[in-house]
Amino acid sequence: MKSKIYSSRYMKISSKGMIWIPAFVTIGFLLAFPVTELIMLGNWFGMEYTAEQISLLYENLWRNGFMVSGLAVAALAALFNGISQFWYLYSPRKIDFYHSLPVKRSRMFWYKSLQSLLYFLLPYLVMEFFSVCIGAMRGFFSLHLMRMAFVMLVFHLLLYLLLYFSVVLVICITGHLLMGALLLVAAAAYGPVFSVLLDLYERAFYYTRSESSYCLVKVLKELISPVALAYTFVKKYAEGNYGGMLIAVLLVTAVLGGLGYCAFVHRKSERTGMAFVFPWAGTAVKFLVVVSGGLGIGFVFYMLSNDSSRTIWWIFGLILGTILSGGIMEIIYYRDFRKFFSHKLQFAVNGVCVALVACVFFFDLTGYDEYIPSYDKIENIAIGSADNSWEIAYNVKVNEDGTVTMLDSGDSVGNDLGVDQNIYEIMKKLAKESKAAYKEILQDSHSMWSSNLWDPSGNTLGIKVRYNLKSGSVVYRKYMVGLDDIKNLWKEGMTEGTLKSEYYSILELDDKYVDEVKCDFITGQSISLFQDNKAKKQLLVDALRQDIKEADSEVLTGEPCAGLSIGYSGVPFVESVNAMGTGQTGNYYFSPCFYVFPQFKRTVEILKETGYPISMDDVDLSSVEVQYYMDEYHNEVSSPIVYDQPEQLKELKKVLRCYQLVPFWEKREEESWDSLKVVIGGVESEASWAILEKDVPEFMKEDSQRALSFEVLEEE
Amino acid sequence: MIEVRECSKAFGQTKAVNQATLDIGDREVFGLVGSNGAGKSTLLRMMAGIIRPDQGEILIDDLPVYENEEAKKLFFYISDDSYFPPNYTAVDMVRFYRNFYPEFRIKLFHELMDQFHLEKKQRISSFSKGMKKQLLVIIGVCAGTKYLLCDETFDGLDPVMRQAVKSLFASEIMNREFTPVIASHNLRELEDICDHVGLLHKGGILLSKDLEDMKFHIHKIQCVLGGRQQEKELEKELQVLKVQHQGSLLMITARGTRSEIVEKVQAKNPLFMEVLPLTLEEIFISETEVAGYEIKNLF
Repeated sequence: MKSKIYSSRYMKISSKGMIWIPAFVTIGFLLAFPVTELIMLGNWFGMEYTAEQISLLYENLWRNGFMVSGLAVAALAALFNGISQFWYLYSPRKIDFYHSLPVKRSRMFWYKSLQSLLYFLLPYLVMEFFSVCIGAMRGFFSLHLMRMAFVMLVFHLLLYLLLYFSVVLVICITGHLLMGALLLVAAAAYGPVFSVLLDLYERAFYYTRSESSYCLVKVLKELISPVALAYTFVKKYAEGNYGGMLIAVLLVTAVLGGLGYCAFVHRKSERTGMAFVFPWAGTAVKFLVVVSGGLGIGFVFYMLSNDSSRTIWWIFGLILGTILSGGIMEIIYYRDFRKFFSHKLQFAVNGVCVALVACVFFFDLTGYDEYIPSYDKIENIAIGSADNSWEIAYNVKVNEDGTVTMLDSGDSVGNDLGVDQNIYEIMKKLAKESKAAYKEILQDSHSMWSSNLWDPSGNTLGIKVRYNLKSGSVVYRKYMVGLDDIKNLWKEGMTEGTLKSEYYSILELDDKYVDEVKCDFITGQSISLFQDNKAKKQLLVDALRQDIKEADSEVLTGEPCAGLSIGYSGVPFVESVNAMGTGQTGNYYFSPCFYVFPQFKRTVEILKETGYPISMDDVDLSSVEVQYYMDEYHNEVSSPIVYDQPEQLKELKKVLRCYQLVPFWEKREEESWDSLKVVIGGVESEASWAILEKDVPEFMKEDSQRALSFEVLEEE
Repeated sequence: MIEVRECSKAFGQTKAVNQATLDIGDREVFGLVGSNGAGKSTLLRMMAGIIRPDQGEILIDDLPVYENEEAKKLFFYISDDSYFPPNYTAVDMVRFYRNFYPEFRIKLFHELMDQFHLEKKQRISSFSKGMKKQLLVIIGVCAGTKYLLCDETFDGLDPVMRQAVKSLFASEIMNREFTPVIASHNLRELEDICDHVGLLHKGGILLSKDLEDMKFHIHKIQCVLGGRQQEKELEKELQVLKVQHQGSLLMITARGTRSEIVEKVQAKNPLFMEVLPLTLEEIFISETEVAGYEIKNLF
C-alpha cells in the first residue's frame, strides 16, 4: 500500500507553517486583478472615454494589463513555492527526515509540485472570479471576455510552471543556499546580460551594425532566461502574435520540469553542502560564467582607453577577466581561497574559448560586416526611411469595412523593397562598401557610443536594412550608403518591389476624408488650396493618385516641382488601445506629404490653376545673395555677394532648389556658403534655398575660392 | 532480517563504508558501534534508503531498500540530528507520520507520552534535546514498523530514561516483531541494551557477535593465590588476555567458559576468588585483539 501523501489529511498537515504562501499569493492577486481593475475602471470613467473605448480598454486590460501584473505575482509565487518546497535539500538533517519516509522521490516531487500549484491556483481562481464579477457589475460581461479570462488563467498557469520548474531545477542541482541563490540570479539574468555584452562587442568591433537584435542575440535576450521568456510571451500575447512563443514556452516548461524531476530523483543526498550536486553542471555553469566574465572585464578595459593602446588593454582585460572570474568561481564552489587555481585544465579550456570569441570579433572571422543572406533564402528586403526626407508616408491597409489599419513593421524599417536580382546585387555592393565608408568616417576613432553615425561630408547616409528570410527569421543591418546607391535602391524598390504600393498606400483612402490640401510650391511658399471647394481638393488628390499610378520609378525619383500635403480627417481607424485618445471614437487624422513631379500632368494642370509657379522658368528671380565661408572651419563669412546679372540669374534659375523639394538622396552644397538668400519679384523669399553640389555654377565656385583666399575681403 | 551485502560508500576520496557485510536478525536489539567517523551513520543512512551505496546492496526482508516504498515501510529512522517541521507539536508529528505508517498506534502514543511526561500539544521547538529524542523513540515505536533505526539516539538520554526506553524495547520485542538497530560510539551506552553488537572500523565491519556469546567465552576473575609461583602457573594454564596486580590481589581476564576458568583457579587453592562482570568494552578489547587490531586505535 502506498503512502497517503495525496490525501487531504496529509495536504492539511504538510501545509502547516506554509500557509503564508497562499496568503501572500492571495494578496498579490488581489492587487493584481480586482484592485487594478477598480482603479483602471475608475480612471477611464473619470477621463471621459466613450463607452466603446472603455470596452476596448477593458478588453486590453485582460489581454495585456492583467497578464503583466499576473505574471509578476506568478513569478513571486513560483519563487516562494519552489524555495519553500525544495530548499530542505540544502540541509542534511531535513534530507534525512524526508527521504527516510516510505515514499518514492518521484511521488514526493509531484506531490510537492501539486501542493505548490494549489497554493498558486486557488488564490488565482478566487481573485480572477472577483475580477470577472467586478467587470460584470460595471457592465462588462460577454462570452468573449470569459474566454479571455480562461485563456489568461491557462497562460498564467503555464508561465507559473515555467518559472516554478526553473527554481526547482536550480535548487535540485545546487548543494547549498549561496550557490542556489547565485545560480537563480544567473539563470534569470544570464541571457539578457550576455546579449548586451555581445551587442557591445558588435558595436565595438564591427563596422556594420544590426541595430535591432535578431538571431542569437535576440534568442539570448528573449528566450534564454525563464523570466525573459515569460515576459516575451506576455508581450507577444498582447500583440496577438504568440503561437511560436507558446510552443517555445511549452517546450521549455516541459524540459525544465523533466530536468527538475530527474535532478530531484537522482540527486545524491550526500553531495548536499557542495556547490553542485551534479559536478558536470558546475563545470558547465563555470564555463558560461567565465567566458562571459572574461569578455566582460576585457571590454571594461577596452573602454578605458581611446587610442591605439586599447587593443593591448583589451587583451590584458580578457586575460585578467578570465583568471579572475575562473578563480572566483572556484572560490565560490569550494568556499576556500586556496582553490583559486584549481582545475587548471578547465581554466585553459575557458581561456581558449574566451580567446576564440575575442578573435571572432577582432578579426571578423564570421564575415559579419559583409554578410548578407544568400539570394535564395531572402523573401524580402526592407529599408528604413531617411530622417531628413520631406515626404511623409503611411503604410496603411484599407479594410473591407472601410476602416484603416496601420501596417507598422515595429522596427522602423518599413519600406519593403521586395527582392530581385538587381536589388540583391545592390545590397551586396552596399554591404561591401559600407565597411569602407564606416572606416573613412570613423578613421582612428570609434563611434560606438554615438547611436546615430553621421557622415560630416554628406556623401553617405545611414540606412537600416531588414532581410526577411523565407525561414521566418530576420537579419538586421545598418549600412553607410552612398547617395546614388540609395537612389538606385529606391528606384529598384519602386520598380520591382512593393515599395511603391506601400509608400503611397494612404492615397487609397476614400477621397471623402480629404480635409485640407496644402502645396509647397517651387518658390517655397506653402499655400492651402481650394479651402472652400472640397470637390476640387478631392479632384486634386485623385489626380495625384492617378499620376503616381502611371509614373514609373524614374519619374518618382526625379526632380520634384512641388510638394502636396494632404490632410485626411475622420478616418475610421482600427485604433491601438495604447494610442487611444480620451473621448475620441476611432476617427483619426493623417497628413501625408508627397512630391509632385513635372510629369504628373493631371496634378500639375490643377496646380497651375492656382496661379503659383510650377517651374523656376515662371519665377521672377530678381537676385541671389550669398555669403561665402572664408575658411574651412566656417568661422568667418564673407560680405554678401549679390548675383543679379541676367546671365547669372538665368543660370541660377536652373539650379536653385527650394530646400524641402530636394529628395534626401541628393547632396546639397553646404560647404561653400553660410547663407543663400533669394529675392523674387523684389521681395526676399522666406523659404530656405539650396543648390545641389553637382549643380553649383562656375561663377559661384570661383567666388567661393576667392572667399577662401580672402580676395573678397580684400576687394572690400 | 536486514542484510547488508558488501556495501561501499565513498565521499570523494574518503571511503566512509568499505565492503561492509552484516546481517541483523529479527527480534534482537542490534548495536552498531564504532568510533567517530567509522561509518555508522553512513551505514544507517544507507539502510534507511537515504543514500544509495556505491557498491553492494541492502535488503530489508529481502526487499532492496533504496527508492522502495514497501521496504521503507518496514522501518522507522531516527537520525542523529533530528528535524521537526517548524511549529509542529507532537500531535502534528503523529498526524504527519500516520500518512506514511498505516499501522501507527495512536493510543499507545498517547499512553507513552503520558508515561514519559511529554506535552503533546506543545511546540517541539521548545523541547529539550533529550525530550526530542524521547519523542522520536516514542513515535518510532508507535509507528508499528518492524525495524527501528536509531542513530546516536541514546546520546543525551539520562540513565532513567535509558532504562525506560530499554524496557519499552523489551516490551515491544516481547509483543511483536520488533528489531531496534542502535548506532553509537559509546560502548557503555549499549552494553545494557544490546543483544548483538556489530563493530565498525574504518568503514568495515570488524566483527558482529552475539553479546551473550561473547560474554560466555571471556571472564574476569580476581583472586589471591599462595605465592608468585602459583600465579605464574595459572597464567600459563589460562588463555590470559590481561593480568593486573593490586598488592596481593590478582585480576585476570581470560578466555574460556566460567566453569573451566573457576576450576583451574580453584586447583591452585586460592585464599580468595571472585568472578567479576565484564564490561562491553573489556569484551571488545579481547575480541578485537583476536582480530588483530589494537583497541587503543579504535576507541
